[in-house]
Amino acid sequence: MSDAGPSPGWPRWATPLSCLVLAAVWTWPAVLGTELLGHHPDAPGTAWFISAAPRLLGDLSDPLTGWPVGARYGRPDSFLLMVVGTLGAPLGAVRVLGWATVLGVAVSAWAAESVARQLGARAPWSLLAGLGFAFSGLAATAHLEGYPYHLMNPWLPLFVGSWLRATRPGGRPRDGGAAAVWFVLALLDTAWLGIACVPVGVAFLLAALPRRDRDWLRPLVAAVAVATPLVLAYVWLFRAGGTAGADALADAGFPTPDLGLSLRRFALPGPSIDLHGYTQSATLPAVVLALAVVSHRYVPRSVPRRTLLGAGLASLGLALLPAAVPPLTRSLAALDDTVVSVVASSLLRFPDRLTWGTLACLSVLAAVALTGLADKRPRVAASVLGLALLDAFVGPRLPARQQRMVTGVPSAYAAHTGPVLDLWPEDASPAPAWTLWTTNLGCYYQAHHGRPVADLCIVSPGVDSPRLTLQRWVLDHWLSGRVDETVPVLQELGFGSVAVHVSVMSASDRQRVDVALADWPALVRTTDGGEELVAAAVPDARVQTHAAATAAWTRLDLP
Amino acid sequence: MLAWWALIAAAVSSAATVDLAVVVGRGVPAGAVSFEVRGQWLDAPVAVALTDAHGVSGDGLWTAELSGEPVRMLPLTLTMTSPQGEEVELARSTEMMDRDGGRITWALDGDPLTTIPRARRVALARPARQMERFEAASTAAGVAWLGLVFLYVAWWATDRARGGRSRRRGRG
Repeated sequence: MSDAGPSPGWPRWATPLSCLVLAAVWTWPAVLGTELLGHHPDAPGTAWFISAAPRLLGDLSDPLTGWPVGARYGRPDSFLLMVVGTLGAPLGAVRVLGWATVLGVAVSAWAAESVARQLGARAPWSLLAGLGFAFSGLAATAHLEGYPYHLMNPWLPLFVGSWLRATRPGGRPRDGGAAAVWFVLALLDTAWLGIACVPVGVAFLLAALPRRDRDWLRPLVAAVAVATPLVLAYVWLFRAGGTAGADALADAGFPTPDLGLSLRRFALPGPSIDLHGYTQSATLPAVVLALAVVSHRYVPRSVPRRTLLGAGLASLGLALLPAAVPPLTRSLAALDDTVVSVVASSLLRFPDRLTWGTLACLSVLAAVALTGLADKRPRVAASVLGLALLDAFVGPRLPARQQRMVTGVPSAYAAHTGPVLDLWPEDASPAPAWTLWTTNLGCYYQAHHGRPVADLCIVSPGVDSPRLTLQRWVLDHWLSGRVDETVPVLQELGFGSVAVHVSVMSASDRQRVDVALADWPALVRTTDGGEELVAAAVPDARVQTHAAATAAWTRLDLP
Repeated sequence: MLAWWALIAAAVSSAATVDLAVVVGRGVPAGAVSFEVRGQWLDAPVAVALTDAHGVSGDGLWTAELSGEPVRMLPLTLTMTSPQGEEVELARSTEMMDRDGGRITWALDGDPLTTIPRARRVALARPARQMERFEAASTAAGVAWLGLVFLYVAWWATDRARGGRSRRRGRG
């Protein structure tokens, strides 16, 4: 397998440039770096995560969230995004989020394209691999919901390329080692991408086992030697970082997998997909599927067509497995083993994400097939590439479907110092994501005002943040006219001020809050940053050390 | 010249506009019932009556518009005053808004002239039952697209376009 090089008249630089331009258009206006984009509460949460990355990089602890107890985030969404956030800290979280999105899509597309070239595809036809992989329905979902780390995914196609070389005749140990490195990087990017590598890797290995030569053995040993220590360290950290999968399932309301819904998610997204904030869709690109089916007509014998096809279909089959055999997945999710139960419960909730492997294998294969078609009928191949562009842009309706959130932050936060307690009404919306919205917005604001907040900014299933506990207790007292009882508690916990998000409160509760805070000092009311915020200093606020505030929290033991 | 300035001013304006709509049904005459949306836009309570005056009169789509400074979340309540003069709350929610605003559409289940209907958020200005058909049609369109693309690719792959026979069956 060697790079087939570009077609005559197609300069090498044109491929990465095409990927970058297409990514900038597809994710527009992320490239401006000034807009907070997304339909889902995770977008502001990710912006906080990027801003907090320099603090978290040491021991995953954050003294500025979870006040007064502090926070230790043992299962961050992405270790790699922490590195990106730390390196990009001078640029600001929103800009890093936007640019990581654009570059992530571009680099992922280029990586898939380069693997297709290794298998004999020629540019510009090899671009189909990038379009099918990095501009897919799964990528659109990640972009719309605010997960840039799912988009920074060159690792999976690079893993496919290296591991395919390692398991083919003449495979070298360094191919196995490289595959292990890409696998670990996928795992560190997000556990989901690491998991998506596994069925592909196993399928390639199974395809190699019947061969008489044992060329795959040394690369396998090299891969195991490189990956094992890193994977064990990851698993150790994962075990220590949170609870078993049953909590996650309980938190998600024990979702019932449905085969019909699972299959429907592989089709084009319907008009109502964005109505309730979630945009789950895993549309499989039609051009990639069609070319994969007829690939036997165009792909040379030297390309392991059946292996790629088998690995892609195996990933697709596994993605449907939780819906096809729910009792099996449910029993795995209920196991005491933390890692297995978390993986099984995650598969029950988001099985589609396994199809990253399907997209990588089939897109690469389709690009090789398109090159074969182009050799015979270049005009037809060009029209098929045009259809792939329709798949990428018209199918997920991007960039038209994207939403822009208000990027500004209420200026009332700047009026006080010390830890701030955000108070939101708990019943403002029946949507199950309401608590996630309030948490992630509070954390997004923290990224700007820099003061300690009581929210836990990476939500762990079954764990209430100090903000939620205090919010219930404080608002209950205020709304029933017992505001004086709350002051000594807030003093003891070291809070400098409260920030009440009154614009989403009922009219009667707004009036009660106004009465409760009437005598508090330094009352500020602002309407910038997209909401009305009332902030007031806690009367005679005390500056408490973290240790003293934590001790007070333990002693008070609020219900 | 004035029009250009107005266009530029509109482009750089930071105001947000929320289009509100209720799919009432063609058989409901204006004046028989009334619909109102109330909410809180930052620090100001807002209320706006929906009317059948915009667009095609009598099309069953009652609309209104709210605008102001960009708002992150918008608590809204949809109420109906029935033919008997009774005010009923049909829906209440806090909507997450785009920086430029957005469109919020409800569809009614039930005839407002005879019953107290249920209001449902819908993505398009269509009756709730039609929306289910639209969703199914979208899936069907996806399958049809896949089928068309497959036929197009397979057509060239099997050499049928030249009038020849599939290679798989022999080159005769």
